Amino acid sequence: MPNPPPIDDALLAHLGELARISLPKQRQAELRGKLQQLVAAFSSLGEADFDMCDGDSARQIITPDELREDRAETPPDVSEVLANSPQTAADCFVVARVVEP
Amino acid sequence: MSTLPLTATALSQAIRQGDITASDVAKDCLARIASIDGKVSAFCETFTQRITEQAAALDNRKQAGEVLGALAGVPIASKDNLLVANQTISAGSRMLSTFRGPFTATSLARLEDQDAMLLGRTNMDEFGMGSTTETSAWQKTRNPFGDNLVPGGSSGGSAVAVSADMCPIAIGSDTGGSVRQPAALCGVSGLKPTYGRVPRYGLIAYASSLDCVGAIARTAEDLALWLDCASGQDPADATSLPTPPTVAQLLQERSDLKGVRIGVPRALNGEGIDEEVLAATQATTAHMQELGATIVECDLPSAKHAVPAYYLLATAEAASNLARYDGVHYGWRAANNDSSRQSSIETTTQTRSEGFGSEVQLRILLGTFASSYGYSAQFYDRARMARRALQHEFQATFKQCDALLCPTSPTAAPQLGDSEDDPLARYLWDALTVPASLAGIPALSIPCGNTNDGRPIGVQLMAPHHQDGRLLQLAHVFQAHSEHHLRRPQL
Amino acid sequence: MTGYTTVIGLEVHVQLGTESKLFSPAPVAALGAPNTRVHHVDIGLPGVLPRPNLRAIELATRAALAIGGEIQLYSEFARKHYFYPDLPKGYQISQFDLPLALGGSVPIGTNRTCRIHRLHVEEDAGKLTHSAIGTLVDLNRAGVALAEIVSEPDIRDPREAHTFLRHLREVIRFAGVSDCDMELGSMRCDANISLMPVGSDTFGTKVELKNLNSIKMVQRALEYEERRQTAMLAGGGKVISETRGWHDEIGESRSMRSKENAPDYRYLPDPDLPPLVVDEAFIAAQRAQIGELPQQRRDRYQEAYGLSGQDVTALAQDRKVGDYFETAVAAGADAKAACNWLIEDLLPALRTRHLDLDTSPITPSALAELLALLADKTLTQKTSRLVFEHLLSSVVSPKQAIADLGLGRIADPAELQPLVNEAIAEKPEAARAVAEGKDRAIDALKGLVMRKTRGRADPEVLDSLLRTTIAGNS
Repeated sequence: MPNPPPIDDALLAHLGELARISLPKQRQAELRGKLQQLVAAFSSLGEADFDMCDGDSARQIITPDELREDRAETPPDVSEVLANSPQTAADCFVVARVVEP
Repeated sequence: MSTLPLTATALSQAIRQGDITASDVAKDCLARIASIDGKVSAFCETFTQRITEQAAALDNRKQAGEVLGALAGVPIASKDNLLVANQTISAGSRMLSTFRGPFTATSLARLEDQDAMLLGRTNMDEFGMGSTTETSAWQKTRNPFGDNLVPGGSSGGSAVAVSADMCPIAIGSDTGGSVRQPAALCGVSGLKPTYGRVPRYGLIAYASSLDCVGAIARTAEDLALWLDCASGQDPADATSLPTPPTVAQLLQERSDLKGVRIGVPRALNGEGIDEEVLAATQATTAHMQELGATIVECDLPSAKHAVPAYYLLATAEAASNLARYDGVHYGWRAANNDSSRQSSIETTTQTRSEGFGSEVQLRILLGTFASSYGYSAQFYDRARMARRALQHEFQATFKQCDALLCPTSPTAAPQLGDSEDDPLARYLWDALTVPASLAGIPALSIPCGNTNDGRPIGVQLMAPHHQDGRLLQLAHVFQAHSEHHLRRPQL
Repeated sequence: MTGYTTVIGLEVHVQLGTESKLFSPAPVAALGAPNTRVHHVDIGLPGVLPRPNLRAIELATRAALAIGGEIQLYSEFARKHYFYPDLPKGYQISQFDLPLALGGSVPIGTNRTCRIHRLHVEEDAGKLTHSAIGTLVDLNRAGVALAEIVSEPDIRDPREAHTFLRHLREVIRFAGVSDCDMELGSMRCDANISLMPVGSDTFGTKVELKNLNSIKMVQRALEYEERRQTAMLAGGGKVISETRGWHDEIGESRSMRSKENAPDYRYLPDPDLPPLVVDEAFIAAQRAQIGELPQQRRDRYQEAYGLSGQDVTALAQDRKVGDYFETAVAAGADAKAACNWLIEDLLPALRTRHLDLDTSPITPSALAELLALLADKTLTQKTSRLVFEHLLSSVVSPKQAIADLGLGRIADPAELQPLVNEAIAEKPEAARAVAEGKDRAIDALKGLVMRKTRGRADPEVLDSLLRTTIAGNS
């Protein structure tokens, strides 16, 4: 079994940042433990031998004749577009100030 | 007489013949829910006004001499992740507590086109992430076969709605077993069609390459009726399949299983499965043999990779699909924030940390890990390979047999709160249903017995791509010769 | 630049000229009140799915073919993840390891070309406006179809970058893919630039430049950055990997963010969109739609019409200009005259009126007719201008314009006679001089009559009438 990558504090913090999920101190140990357990178990895929039987993939494909024709439709009213937004002004969604990361 | 114990097939016939009215049916359903849903908490909300109006309109059309559709007056409950125009739909999440769909999901609109009536939305694990319906932000749904038993999940509310006779058909979604497993645990029948057969437009995504709209009913016959109404290509869903031929007529073509080869994959019929469940499954195999089927032992070696592959792919896709919940465009936004002072990163992080429950957060973190730089090759990419390997093995296996059989769930319904803190144990519990999900093949669960203490046991049948009709045919023959599906909970 | 070799690569976004968005049927429009061009798909509403636009794929294919790229028979849409309020889904649908096209090249000077790395299709993001209450999000632009063209780092001089963009724009416009207007944002360019010691083959640390809103700005920003990096390296400093924004008004770039931590976009194949498979027939059909490219057209014009190099360059700058020219010539116009009028008169006039050739009030056949009227002397150089101006402001034929303006040539001696008499009465000394054999004096009388007729008198009829009248009087 290949060594599973350790889920350390830095990696956990990185994942939280990527996913925009805050990781308060009191939850860190628990989450790290759970992730470590799962990652260790799932590392088994790393050693499996998946020699592909043939090139015949089961994945669907799409061809140009199945694509949508380029025809514009009347879009929903702006009130419908904004209907589920938590904050709006001047027919726009409103968010907190964007600060460059 | 209450109209409720009737199947959808019988109910729609009675309405079209004028024996009963759609309004009577709607009233019976609402009354039944009012009287017992307090015990089982299957519904998040009933669409009382909607169904009352719909029923009246149907009765008027019937009176005017119109011929009603195939689902005339059939009340159908739908999972809380399928959009219904102008109704709140929350996917079991606080994040969408006030979200209203501006349109009805294709898979539900097609039922309405056949004159079905949408009854209400059923409880589910948050965004489908769970196998017990316990991760719902709203309530704990209970299995009608035992107060402290989980109903399974994530379509637990839908399974309970049918099991407790609140409606003959309830729609669910099945990503890794979320229709089949609760159906098994609640003693009803559940179908996950071939991936793409029923369109996903209007289904709130969990893991797009695995999500299937499915249904729960009491009989294979009702599932066939539903499938014929819901199937077919949808231009709005690029992954939907060309419209297939109908299947209902296939059910009348067979009265036994002569010449049918049923494969029993060793990997899915041994390790980790409860004795009682295995015994019920073996009894089913024996019964099918009596009905003329040939039993073929077979192998599916990659099945051992199914749980890791499934959880890596599903969570990577989920982390992606759930990135849209940032508190800007729709849904809930964390309180105590003043957009003139906070930064958007803070708002988004706070919103997601408070809006998502802990299981969803865990899966988002796992999926983010699986797809992140430095790890995706070892995890996400390997999972895709495992998926392909499994698909090839299924293809090869289906050269030797027409259908595969195994238990739906390794155990009957456990107690509420049983395995809450051990995610790996919970995930391994899905080992029997995730292979068909990864392969995209049709699979169903039908009741096949019960444990000594009376908990239902379900058996799963899987068929090659597009053979949904064949699958329902097998289940129908079995149900014509058995009574497991007729057993009812005492409520 | 002494001591260092400049290495430049460009990433160009071209808006594909579709009617609807890449994955939704919402209309594409440059203008429009906020959030009035937004479909549920564009905000990534829970439950929606993307529906790829055929025309976008066709146009991107044509763009790739026009620059000599190789269309990939199997390509895939991928999700590029990052959180930003202008990106409603939390990911952009783009392409990653399986783009629509690979390869190709664009000329950047005499015997110099820049190789193209790839062309892929992706959706645009929305627009943010900052206000006192927070940031306002308008998603009209979100989901608009783009092709991103990524060059290899083959450019060695900011002027070559300028040439690259001019050629690329010309070809893309020609292929009918996009109008490539950098000021309106239908073509956008980011530039990467690094310096390495002459003779080295290891690239230096690169800096990415953004906010480049015209081709000239790209060149200016690169020139500035070349100087900045040279000074830094010459002074013993190190270039930092960063993104810098160009501020054209002050002629400087400023750091926007460091690139120390490269973002992790977590690309995933989009599970909502099966891989796209095209065949040779599709590619051939798109190739046929492109037709002639600028260089081929320039060669043909030179050959067929004997026009100068300058003329053919002007005519081949844009497919529409050449098409207009050819239609006018087919309608009987003289090639050289049509070229002159088109380039020197019509195009500038349309620009000042905010029109283009599609909406030109003067059709190619009207221009041909005007030139014919000039050739048969119905019109003089002077009256032809008046007709031209009139045609521009009203949709009529030249003949109608002549009538409207009362510009018909006066060749009837009876109509001209009173004016000739008046002229002789007003300038008797000129008439006398003519009578005395000073022939050039007749010009003064002609000028007088021409003024009275606003240039409409037929010069030949007028000449003989003046002479007979003067002869008769004396």
